[in-house]
Amino acid sequence: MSAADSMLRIRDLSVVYEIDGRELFAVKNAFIDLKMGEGVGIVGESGSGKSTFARAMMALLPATNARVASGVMEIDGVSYDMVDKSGMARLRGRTFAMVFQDPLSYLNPLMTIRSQIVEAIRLNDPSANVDHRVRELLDLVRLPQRCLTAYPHELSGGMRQRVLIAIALGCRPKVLIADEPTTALDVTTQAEILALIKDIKREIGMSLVLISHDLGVVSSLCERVFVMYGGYTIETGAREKILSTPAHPYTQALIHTARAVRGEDGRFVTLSGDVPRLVEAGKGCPFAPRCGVAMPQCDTVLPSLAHVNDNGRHSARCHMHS
Amino acid sequence: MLRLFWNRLVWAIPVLLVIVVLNFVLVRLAPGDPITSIIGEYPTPEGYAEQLRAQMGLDRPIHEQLLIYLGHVFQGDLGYSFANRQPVLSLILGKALNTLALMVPGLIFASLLGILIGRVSLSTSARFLDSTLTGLSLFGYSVPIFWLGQVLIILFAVELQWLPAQGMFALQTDLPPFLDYLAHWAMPGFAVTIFYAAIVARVARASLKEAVTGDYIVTALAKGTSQRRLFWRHVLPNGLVPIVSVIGYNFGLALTGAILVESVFAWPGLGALFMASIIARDYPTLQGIFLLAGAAVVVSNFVTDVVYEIIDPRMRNGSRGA
Ligand SMILES: Nc1ncnc2c1ncn2[C@@H]1O[C@H](COP(=O)(O)OP(=O)(O)OP(=O)(O)O)[C@@H](O)[C@H]1O
Ligand SMILES: [Mg+2]
Repeated sequence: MSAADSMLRIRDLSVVYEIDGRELFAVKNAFIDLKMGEGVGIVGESGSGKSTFARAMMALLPATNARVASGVMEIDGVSYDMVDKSGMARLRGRTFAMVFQDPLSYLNPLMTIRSQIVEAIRLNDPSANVDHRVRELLDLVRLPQRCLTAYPHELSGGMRQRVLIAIALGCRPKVLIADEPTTALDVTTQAEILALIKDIKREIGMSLVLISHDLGVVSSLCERVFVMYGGYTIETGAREKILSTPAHPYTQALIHTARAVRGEDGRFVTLSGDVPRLVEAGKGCPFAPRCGVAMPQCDTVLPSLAHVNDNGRHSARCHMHS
Repeated sequence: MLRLFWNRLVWAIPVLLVIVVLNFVLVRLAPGDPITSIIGEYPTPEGYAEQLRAQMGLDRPIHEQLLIYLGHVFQGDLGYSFANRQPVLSLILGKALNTLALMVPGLIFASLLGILIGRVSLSTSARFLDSTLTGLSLFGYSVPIFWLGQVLIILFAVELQWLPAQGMFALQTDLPPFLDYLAHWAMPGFAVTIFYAAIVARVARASLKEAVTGDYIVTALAKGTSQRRLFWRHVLPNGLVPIVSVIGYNFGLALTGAILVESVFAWPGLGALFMASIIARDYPTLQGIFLLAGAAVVVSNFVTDVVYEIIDPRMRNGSRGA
C-alpha cells in the first residue's frame, strides 16, 4: 500500500456528519493510493461512505452539517491538510474533476451544452483555444457536434452522461473522480458509458477514481480496488488478488454473492443483516455483527490494517490477518 | 416564438373586451349620478339637467350606450371627461406617464434590492446582515404608507427642509427639470421602493435558497467556479422565474398600485385622477382608467411569459425533441 510511486495518496481521512447534535463518522481512517494513469476503484455497499470520501476530496461536503475531522493528501509531492476546506477547494477543476450519478440533475437546465463545457475549459485555462478544445472533447466522448446547441432536457440519459464527462475532462484534471457514473442509466447505456470511460482512460492516460457498489464495474476499469465498509477502508489490493483471494470476510461475501446471484442489472444482491450505520469512534470491527467468522475480540477491538501477501500490496483490516 | 406571440395577441382582444364591458356596467351600478355631481347644489334652469343628460348620451338605454362606447373605443376614442373638460385618452395618458415616472424607477430599484437581499441570505458568513435586511424588509412591507409618508414629510420637508413635500415639479425653481423631478421623487420613490423591495426580497430569498441546493450547483463548483460567478451564472438564473413573476405582476399593477403614495405626496398621477373621478362620477374617465389598467396587466403578462421563455428553454414551445 505504501507505494512510493503514487501520484496521489490520501491517509487517515475521517469525515463526520452532525446528526441530531451528535457527530457521527461516515468515513473513518480511510485511505487511497493512485498511480499516474491508473484506475482505482472504491467499492462498498450503500452507506459505506464512498460518496462522502469523494466529496471530501472535492471539498464538496454540505457546509451545514459535514466536517472533515482529519486527513492528509499528497499529490505530485505536495501535501495538503484535508481539514482545510478552502485549500482543498482550490484543487477543484485542475486537480480533481468529478462525474456524478444523475446526469440530468447535475447539468444546468438553463445553459446549452456548449456553454457548460466552455465554462469548464475557460475556468481552468483562460487562454485555451475554446473551439478547438470543445471539438476535441466532443470527439473524445463520441457526441455529435449538433449536441452543442442543445439543452440538457433535449438529450438522452447516455448523452447527458457523456456531456458530464466532457465537462469534467474540459477541466484537464490530474485525476477524474466518477461517483456511480452508470447507476442512473439503463443497462445498455451503462455498458456504453463504461466502455467509453475505459477508452478515454487509455487514449489520454487518465488517472481515475471510480466509485461503485458493483465490484464487476470496478474490476472492468480499475487495476486496484479499495473496499469500504462502515466508513473504513477494510481491504485493498490488485484487482486480480481481490477477485481471486479476497482476504476480508466482507469482501469474500461480496464476491460470493456476486457469483451466486447476479441480478439482471448486474448489481449485487445485498448481504443479509443491517446496512452499517454511522459509527462512533473507538468501537470494534464494523463488520462484526454480520460476520460469519467473528471472534470475541472483533466486537471490542478495531483490527488494524495488515499486509496479507503480494509483497505488501494486498492488505486487510481483519483480526484473522493480524 | 412568433406563433406564440400571435396566440397571445389574439387572446388579449377578448380579455380586453370583457374588461371594457364589465367596467362599463360596474361603473353604472355604483350609486351616484354624474349629472348631480356636475351641477352640484346650485339652482339651475328648468330642464338643464335633462339637456346635459342628453348631451352626454346618458338618456339612452344602457345597452345602446355600451354599443356606442364600444364603437368609439375601437376607433381609439375613449370619450370626453366633462369633469376635466378634456378628452379622456390624452388626460389619462398624461397622468399615466406621471405615475410611471414614480413607479418604474421604484420598481427597478426594488427588484435589484430584493435580489441583493436574496443573495445576502445565501451567504453563511453574513448571518447578521441577513437578519438585519430581513427585519428591514418586513418593516418595509408592513409599515402603513400613509404613516411612513407623513413621517418622511415631517422629517425631510418640514424639519430639515431638504426635500419638497408635494407634487412632481416645482412651480418655480432654479433646478434643471431632471434634478427637480429627482428631488420630488425622493420621498414617494423611497416609499415605493422599500415596499416593493420587501415583496421581491421575500420571493427572492426563497427561490434562491431553493436554486442553490440544485445538483447543477455541485457540478459548477466541481469545475472550479468562483462564488461570484456561481451566483450570477448558476444560482440566480435558476431562481429567477418566481422573481420575474412577482416583478412582472407588480409592474402590471403599477398604474393603480400607487394610489396611496400619490395621495400622500400629491403626486399628479393616475391614482389621484382615479380618486377624483370616483367622487365626480366621471364615467368616461373611470372606464378609461380601468381599460388602461387592464391593458397594462395584459401587456405585463405577455412580457413576463416572453421573459420566462428567454430564461428557461424548457418553457419554450415547440423546442426540439424531448
Ligand atoms: N448530508 C448528510 N447528512 C447526514 N448524513 C449523511 C449525509 N450524507 C450522507 N450521510 C450518511 O453518511 C453515510 C455515508 O453516505 P455516503 O453517501 O457517503 O455513502 P455511499 O457509500 O456513497 O452510499 P451510496 O451507494 O448509497 O451512494 C450514510 O450513512 C449516509 O446516511
Ligand atoms: Mg454514493
